[in-house]
Amino acid sequence: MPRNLSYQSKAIIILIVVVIGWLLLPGFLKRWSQPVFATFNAPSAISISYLRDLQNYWELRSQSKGRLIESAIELARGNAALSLSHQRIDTLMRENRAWEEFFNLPPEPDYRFEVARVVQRDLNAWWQTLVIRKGTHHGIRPGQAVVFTGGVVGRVYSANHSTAVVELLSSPRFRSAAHFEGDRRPVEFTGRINHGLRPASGQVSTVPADITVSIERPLRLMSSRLGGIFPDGLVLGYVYHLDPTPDGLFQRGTVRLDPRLLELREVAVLVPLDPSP
Amino acid sequence: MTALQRLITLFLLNAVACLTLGELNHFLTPYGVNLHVDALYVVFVALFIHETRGLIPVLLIAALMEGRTPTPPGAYLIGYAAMWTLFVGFRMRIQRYHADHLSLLAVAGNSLFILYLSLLHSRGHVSLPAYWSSIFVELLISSAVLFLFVPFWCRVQKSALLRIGWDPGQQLNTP
Repeated sequence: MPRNLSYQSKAIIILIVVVIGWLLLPGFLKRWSQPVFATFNAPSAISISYLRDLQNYWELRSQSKGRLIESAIELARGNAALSLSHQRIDTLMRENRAWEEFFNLPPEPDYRFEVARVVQRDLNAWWQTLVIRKGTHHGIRPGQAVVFTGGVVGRVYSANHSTAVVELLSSPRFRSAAHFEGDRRPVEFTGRINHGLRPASGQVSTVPADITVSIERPLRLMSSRLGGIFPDGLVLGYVYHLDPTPDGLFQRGTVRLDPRLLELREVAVLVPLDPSP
Repeated sequence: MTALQRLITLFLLNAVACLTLGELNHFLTPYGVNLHVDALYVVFVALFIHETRGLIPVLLIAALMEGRTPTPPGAYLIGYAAMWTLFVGFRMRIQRYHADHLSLLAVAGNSLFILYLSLLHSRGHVSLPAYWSSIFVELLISSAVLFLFVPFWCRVQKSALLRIGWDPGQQLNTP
């Protein structure tokens, strides 16, 4: 670079070189750069997450024995109830398989629950994502469904060796088939632009005109198998109000999402047991 | 200590700031608040390091951000390089040791960067008032935090460089 150039001129020349250099870079190198940067990022994000776990551990250690005994009793009760419902689900699944064989129906897809800790939450106007502490090493692949105790969380956007990025269902890019509880007709669920300082919400469209909701009697929106990502019957949110579309054929409305979505600590990825080739 | 080692020191300091901010955003999500203070990682290097090599830590931080966010490849690399060039252009036009000048320049650069990201991620939402109002809220909160925090962070970086035997003030008198 010429020595008589001012520092500012040099800076502009360098910027032009950076921009042109990036534009001329082959496409595969550009696509490859992001996973590489993410892999370099992973150790720091995971370390912070482990530090957070350690902090929680010491916080729990400071609890009194009485409080811990109470929690253990509550957990034992919960486990007993879960054990009973587990037995009931086993019976229903056997019955379901028998009917499938009887009618010669294709089996429903089966999943393994891969539970993962949330390393980082990043929710803004452009993207709404979570980073989880498991990745391709644990069988997680882009497009897989992510759930929590309250229903659907979203789907895996990208996966690296030990971390994965999950796109929340409130993200403007999220789109999925759904249906209302007790009604099999499909509707369309989409994320939306969420305002800061307000709880997250989504949008439902192509709702048949005969469906009615009110503040007193909201309807529960459930996931549908039609999208090919989520199993049937997982909660997406609640709809309190519907407006007719200009053509009068359908309705659309706002879906109130579970507020716990904004403070998730642990999620489960549904890894298909028999992934399609 | 060589110049490269000093620049790596600056990168490590800013990387720690970047991780801390990520952690802060993680805990702010239940309140629907997200801070974007990207100018924080660029302003000191651009205004106080009189070397074009100052772009190295800036590009490394941009790479760190690219790995953390679902942006198109190169968005942060080009955005940070442009912000660095903008700040370098202003280094002789403002009083760098004046906290308000420093903060105002950082806020202006940061606002332009947020505008750039907003246009990049608009996906057909450019005409929606809801999109811009939500960005405006984030911009307002981020600018307030940035305005308060920039002078402090520049002082921290300067004292860190003095500790390793490099006075960035010595090179400031040369244009």
